Amino acid sequence: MTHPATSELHENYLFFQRSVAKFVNEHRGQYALLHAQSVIAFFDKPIEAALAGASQFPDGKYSVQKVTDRPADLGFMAYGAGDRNPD
Amino acid sequence: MAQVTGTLIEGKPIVDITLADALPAPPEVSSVSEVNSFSVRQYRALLDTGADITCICEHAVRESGLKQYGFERMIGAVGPSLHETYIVKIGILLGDSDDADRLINGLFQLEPLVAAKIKDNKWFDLIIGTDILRNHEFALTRGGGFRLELFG
Repeated sequence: MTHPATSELHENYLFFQRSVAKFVNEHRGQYALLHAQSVIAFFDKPIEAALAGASQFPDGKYSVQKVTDRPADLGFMAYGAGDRNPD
Repeated sequence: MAQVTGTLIEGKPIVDITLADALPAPPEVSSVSEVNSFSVRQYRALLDTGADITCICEHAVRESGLKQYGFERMIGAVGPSLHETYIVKIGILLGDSDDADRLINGLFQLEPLVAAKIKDNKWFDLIIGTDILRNHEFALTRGGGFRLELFG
């Protein structure tokens, strides 16, 4: 059985990927706090988003995503395998 | 000056670091008073100027009990892949990394950052990418060594 918080992370990610084009102009490089497939707020630092999430959602059902439309380069591990894309 | 020096290991610049979740897990509700646990572990990290972000191997994620915060899309030779992300605190042990008996010369604590989970390998436990390195100075030195100067 999938843990509720894990399901929340996945659903928030899918929402974020669908919506990120709307956010990149104003918030590129910031960190979005997400809950229930919506953006709660943007923060300059990931720890600020995590602290706000822990404070507002003590059940842990929130996620933090960096606002970017570009995939990160794996560097040394580029020739290894990662987790395959579930979407 | 905060600095790490060492010799390349199989051609790789590797440093000793500490790793912990940026936010400790909240304590369980219990009738017994208990100290909130906060795991800090020591690992070896590759300095990789080709990696955009810092990465943590699966076993280190598991051992450190890190909480997942989201996902990161990453691109590699086999195409795009999706990786779990964590928000962590990393400290870099200063001094000469070749000296196994060295006294700890100090720890340079980095700001909490987002790191992505990657598969285990035989060389190191983490990758320190350009998200960290761009704020400091990293150089390969004559004779097969390296130097990392850290700026606060």
